[in-house]
Amino acid sequence: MTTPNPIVPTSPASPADPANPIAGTAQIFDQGYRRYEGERTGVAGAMSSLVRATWRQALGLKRQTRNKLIPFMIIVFAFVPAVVFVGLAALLPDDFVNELPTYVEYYGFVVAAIYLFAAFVSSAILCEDRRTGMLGVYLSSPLDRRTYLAGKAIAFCTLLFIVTILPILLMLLAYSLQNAGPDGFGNWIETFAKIVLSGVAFGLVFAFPSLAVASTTDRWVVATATNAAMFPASAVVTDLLVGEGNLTPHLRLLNIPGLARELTFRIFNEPQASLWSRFDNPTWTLVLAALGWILVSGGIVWANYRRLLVRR
Amino acid sequence: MTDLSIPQSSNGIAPVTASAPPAPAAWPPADATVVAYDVSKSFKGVVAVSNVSIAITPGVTGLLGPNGAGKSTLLRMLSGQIKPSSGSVWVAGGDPRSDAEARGRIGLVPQQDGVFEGEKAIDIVSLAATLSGLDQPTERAAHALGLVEMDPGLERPVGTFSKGMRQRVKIAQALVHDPIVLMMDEPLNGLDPKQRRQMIELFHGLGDAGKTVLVSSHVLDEVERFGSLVIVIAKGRLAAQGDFRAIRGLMDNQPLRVRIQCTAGRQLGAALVASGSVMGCRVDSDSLIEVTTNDIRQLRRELAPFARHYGGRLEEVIPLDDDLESVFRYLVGDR
Amino acid sequence: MTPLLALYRVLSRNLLSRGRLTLIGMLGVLSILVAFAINRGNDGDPGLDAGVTFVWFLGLGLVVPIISLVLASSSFGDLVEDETLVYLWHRPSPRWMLAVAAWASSTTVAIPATVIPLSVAGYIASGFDLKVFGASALAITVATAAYSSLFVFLGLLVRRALIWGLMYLFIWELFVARVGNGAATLSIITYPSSILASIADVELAQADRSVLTGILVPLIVSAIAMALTTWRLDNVDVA
Repeated sequence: MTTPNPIVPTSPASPADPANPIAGTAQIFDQGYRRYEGERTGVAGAMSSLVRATWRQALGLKRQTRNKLIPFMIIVFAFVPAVVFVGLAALLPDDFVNELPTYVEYYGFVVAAIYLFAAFVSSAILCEDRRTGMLGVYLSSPLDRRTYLAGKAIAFCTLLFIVTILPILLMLLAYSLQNAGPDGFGNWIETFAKIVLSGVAFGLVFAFPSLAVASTTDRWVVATATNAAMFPASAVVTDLLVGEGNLTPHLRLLNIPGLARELTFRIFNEPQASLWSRFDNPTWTLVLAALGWILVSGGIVWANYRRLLVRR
Repeated sequence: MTDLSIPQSSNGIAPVTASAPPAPAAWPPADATVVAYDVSKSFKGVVAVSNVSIAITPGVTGLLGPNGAGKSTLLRMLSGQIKPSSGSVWVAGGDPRSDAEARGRIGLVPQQDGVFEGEKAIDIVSLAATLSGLDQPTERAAHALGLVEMDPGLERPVGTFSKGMRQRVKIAQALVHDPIVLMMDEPLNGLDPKQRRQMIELFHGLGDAGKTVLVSSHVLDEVERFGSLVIVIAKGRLAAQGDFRAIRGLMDNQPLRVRIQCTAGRQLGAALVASGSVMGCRVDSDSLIEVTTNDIRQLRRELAPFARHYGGRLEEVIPLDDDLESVFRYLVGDR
Repeated sequence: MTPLLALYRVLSRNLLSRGRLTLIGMLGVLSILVAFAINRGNDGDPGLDAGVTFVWFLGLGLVVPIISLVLASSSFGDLVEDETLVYLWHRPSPRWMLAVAAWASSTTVAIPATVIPLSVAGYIASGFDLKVFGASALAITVATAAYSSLFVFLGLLVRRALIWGLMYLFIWELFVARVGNGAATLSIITYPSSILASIADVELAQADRSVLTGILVPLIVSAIAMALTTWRLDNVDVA
């Protein structure tokens, strides 16, 4: 069913109408409010609209250039090392190509860009809605608080995967085209799956704590700054406490960037050598710690939103 | 005395643009303290002010225009807050953007509400005095606060003040260094009627004392009370400058309506129509007529002799649309 | 009161919001607690290296740049945000005075917030070594002054200075600069780290400059940043 466009004038009435001889001179341009008569897509449609709107909001799409600058700059930072390594692989002799960073080592180069992106985007998508009253508008649609938060989380994680998965997939594709990729189709698929799994794990470990911080304040700048400081602070403090203070190594499970990196090393089954990643814990404790971060952070978000007073 | 700087345009309304600046011999007037020459300002391709040339002399001048007309942008260029995209500004002896001494001769009341929320009124005004290089800043600040009828001993921070009180603190900090030129953007916002009257009296006093007082407002009644000199801005262009009654006189495509009460009203109307001094006449009663004229001087010349001729007595002659509101409506109404 | 002192006074008071004081206090307390934990974890004798690593890693690497950024970027940033800059900017006092007052106010608020807790924490984490205390105090003072000058300029240059400052810190100062010597030369953190390493006589990555270089280069950076801030004040459009 199509809805009449209120902008397009209706056709003039027939001049031959004997009951109204001057009707041919009249045109109606706007009939004012009319109820929506198109298809209603329900919660699924509202969720999909919310996810798309959140992508636009986070990346500043359809807004002024200055709104796009920060997210796109961070995305560029996340891709630059991949492009450089691909270039080097093309230019350097084969012997040197083996010296280039592995897929899993790539995270070491872009971890700062990833947590800046998480800090920036989480604050942009949650704080702005509360500050501008858009949350009330969303909640007057078929969405409720639960589905709203689910939509935001889906949008946020998919955005985060842009910087945690795509640069490494780019490396894989480019290396493969230069015959420097994994040998054989089976190995290629296995590497592909590991990259995706690592990117998902890496992204999720950053995503939920940053959403938790963003749910506690409607001041966008405060949330971004707190998030951006929280990730390195968790690494520095736990490394100092374990490395210099000889405290229990289990404290490293509080190191968010370290935990995320260690998970990727375990997925690729590669030994870690980073200062941040001297984890001796069994893999299951790492998985439990990651789940703990996700669940506790998710709980904080839900607790904050459940009791939030929403004005419409 | 009327100062009509901008010549009449071909359509009878004062010019909508001053892209061809007035002849140097006549402009700017020797006593002008604020001169803007062909200034324009655009923000990312959107033109806010276009080719405006004005000269302002001592006294109170109202800067008038609808919301979004470009009044604040023009005022900010005149005060040096923003740099014109083209053209030049000269205020009290220099370019206020680059000449600190010229800036020191300007008192500025910006439009925004923000003042230093955590500070006391006396401290804000005293800071302004110190930054202007004055001795005894606290005493001067107390005096300036007295001028705007505020108690210098108030201990509360400005953040707790009402809008009217903040506005008066802003005016006091602009007055504290006894500036030659005072520029104020919507200074009466938030004031109650009594405070408005006091401020208008204060501005008149400053104007009478030889200061140049430029007051921006979109409230016609307010501007009319500042005095008769106005600068009218519409859609970023200069619509008119001068005494608003004289501007009205220049609008010969906008006939002037005059209500005349005369004991021989009907005969008087007929005679005026016959003589050609009025274009039309509406007879409301035997003694009350309303005429429309394009030539107010001829009407003025003929009115009394004609009334006398028909043995009538003129009781009241009231121009109906030479007030500021009519001038403003004619100038900006169709934009 | 001179104009410079009047500007300094109003800008300093403007910086001391409850939120900022809470952040400063929390970071100070966190530093002391971590230092105590390191001390206790080594039975009261962690050694000089532990104290220097602590100050380098947590102090110069995180607390100093973040406190400097939060305070200095707000020095003009807050005035631009609430449109009060015009009251200081439109006065006839020279623009360099406004730039220096902004830097001085943010630095003098930041220095006690960084130097005292971090030097004390370094002293504790080193097992009460006075050399670490002295080296930390000098290095942190130099770092705070230099970062503050940069971030005062940034606060006037861009809106959302805090976000741009964080990007600069985490991508350039704390990541790229620790990877290569060329980048290290162009980053602030190299110089206070060199002061710390030289005085305490320990080796730290990308911190091999002399104490004199470690002091002079940040001073020159501060002077350049002040000149740029003055230039910006001359050219900025003020609401």
